[in-house]
Amino acid sequence: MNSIKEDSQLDDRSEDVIRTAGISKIFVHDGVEVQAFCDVTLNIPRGKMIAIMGPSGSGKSTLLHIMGGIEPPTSGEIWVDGQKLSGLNDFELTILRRRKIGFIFQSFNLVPTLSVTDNVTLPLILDGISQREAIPRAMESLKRVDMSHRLQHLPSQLSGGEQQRVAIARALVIKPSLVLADEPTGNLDSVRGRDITRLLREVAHESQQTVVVVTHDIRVASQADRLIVLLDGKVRFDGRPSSDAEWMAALKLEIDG
Amino acid sequence: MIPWRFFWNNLRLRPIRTLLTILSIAGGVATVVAVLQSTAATRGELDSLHQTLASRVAMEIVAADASGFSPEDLPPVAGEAGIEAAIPVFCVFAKMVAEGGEARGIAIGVDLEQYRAVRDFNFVSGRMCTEKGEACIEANVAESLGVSVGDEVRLGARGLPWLLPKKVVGILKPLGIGAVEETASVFLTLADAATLGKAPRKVTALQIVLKPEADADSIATKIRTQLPDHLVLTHASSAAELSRPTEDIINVGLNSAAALSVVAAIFIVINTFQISVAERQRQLALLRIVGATTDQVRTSMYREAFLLGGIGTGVGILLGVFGSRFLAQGMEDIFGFTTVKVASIRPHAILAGLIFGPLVTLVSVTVSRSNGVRGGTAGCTQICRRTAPRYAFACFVWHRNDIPVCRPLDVWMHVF
Repeated sequence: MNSIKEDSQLDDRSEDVIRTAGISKIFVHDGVEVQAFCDVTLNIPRGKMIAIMGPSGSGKSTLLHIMGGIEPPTSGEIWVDGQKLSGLNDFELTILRRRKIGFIFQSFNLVPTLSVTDNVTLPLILDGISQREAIPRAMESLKRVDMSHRLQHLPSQLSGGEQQRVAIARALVIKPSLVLADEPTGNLDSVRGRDITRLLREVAHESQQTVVVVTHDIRVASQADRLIVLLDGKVRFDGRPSSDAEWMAALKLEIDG
Repeated sequence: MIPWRFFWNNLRLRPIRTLLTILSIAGGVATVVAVLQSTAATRGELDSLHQTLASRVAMEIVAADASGFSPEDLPPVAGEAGIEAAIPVFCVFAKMVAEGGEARGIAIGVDLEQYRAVRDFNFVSGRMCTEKGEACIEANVAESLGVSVGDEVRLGARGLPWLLPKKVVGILKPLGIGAVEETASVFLTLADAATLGKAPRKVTALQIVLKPEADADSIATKIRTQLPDHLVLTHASSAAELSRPTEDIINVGLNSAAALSVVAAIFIVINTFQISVAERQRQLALLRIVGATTDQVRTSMYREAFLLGGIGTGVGILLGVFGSRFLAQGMEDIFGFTTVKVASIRPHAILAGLIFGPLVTLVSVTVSRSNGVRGGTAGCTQICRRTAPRYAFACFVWHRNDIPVCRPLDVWMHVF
């Protein structure tokens, strides 16, 4: 069953790639309930780069996972590219992620035993696309991140910045509506971090692919079209700071909690 | 479908782990094959031992006072239905003296041609003794006495005041088991043995060999009705009977050894797969993150496992056939057989290896597969965040909060 859309689960507000309605997440550890966030309602439009900030434990990575269909919310509803996630089983969620969502991680998460090309073609091969068709698409994606010169290298033979570029190429090769990046510059120095941030911004603006970045780095956040700051499970700031004072306020929330 | 290159690179880039996995399967299969090969061979030798001890004599007519008796007293049993042979013998404990030394044993007076119906033997050299003054000696005795065909030996028996000279005309070797105490040391003509036993023209037993389909009880009843009072019918004697309980114990031991080997092999293979999956959990989680379904990951694990299982089974069968020779040597040392022949490949052992290898691989990967896709995608994301160890030796892997835990024997190694 490869079709994941059903009419009853489609949302007509297709200009929003992500729409959440009052989602909450509560974890239970050893019988103790821990609330990650509560009653979060967001609309994230297509072709924008969104940064989510907040102190550790504020629930930003959990929110990212829920947006990606990796974890279900405890309550509330979420739509991704018009598709309501509740009610989809594990297989359907996997197909949705495979075709519509690209993931980028802080630790790159490339398959260490596959070459650069094979890593990038992997999502396509998993989707049943032939190698002959997958390779040109991988080349195109790698060219976009300027990694065409290291096609047969293993991840261990690449620098951190190069690995993250390959990870971005892998995320983009499926031409996803949504790219979710969890601290993509966390393991990179400032120069490479800036390059990656610029690349993500280009993806959002040139390809009309929405990029949601969870970050602690104010330099990344400053490149975003919109900043969301989470604190104590609540959205404390949502918008684009228009002045230095607003940036400082957002930064204070990030640092001080 | 997850591309073959993923597995191939995994195997190629981690040769030690690949080798260990193959060897663990091969070890399990080899154990099964070797044990089955050698236990089958040992059982064969036990059967042979039993047959040798029992000879093929089903019953004997002997004197009630255990002395000699005249053959004329015997009823005409040879023509009875169900009887294959009835051979008169004269047995006496004897001393043999030759230039190379002396030995004690049993002298049997018998027509050796007829005696083939009772026991199997080959002539190492010479011929059967058919005339007065001729003797055939068992090969081990001849060797210990330094006697060969054409030499003279002198035989004595209790109560006989002198030694009787005999010319060695043949050296023979019993087939099957060599060192059986009750095998005769020397064979004579019936008349010579009777003379040695101071009972001329008498015999000590009429040994009766039955046809395979014969009803021993009805034949025994019929013979008993024809016997004079001083003769009795006995069932064949009892080294064979005595050996039965020992043989049963040995069989139980061999079966237990085979069962333990199989169980140990299963544990080893399952554990190897558990470790292999535990240390590759991050990779498998990565596949889930980039869009592999649970079924795709599981199928990939089965494909890889069966590739390794197939190689391991092939190697294991070869190792098992080779290793069974060493195991057979051990059996020989334990049981004291002259030889335990495992030269021939036993089809049931090979078949067991062919079934065991894939089966235990299937069980192992089935047990391990849940670890490979544990915790859903969220669990995979958590796994991907951790820095995974590159290699693990452990005794069974279990999980706490979806994290593989290997205690108390965990030794995480980062050297491979």
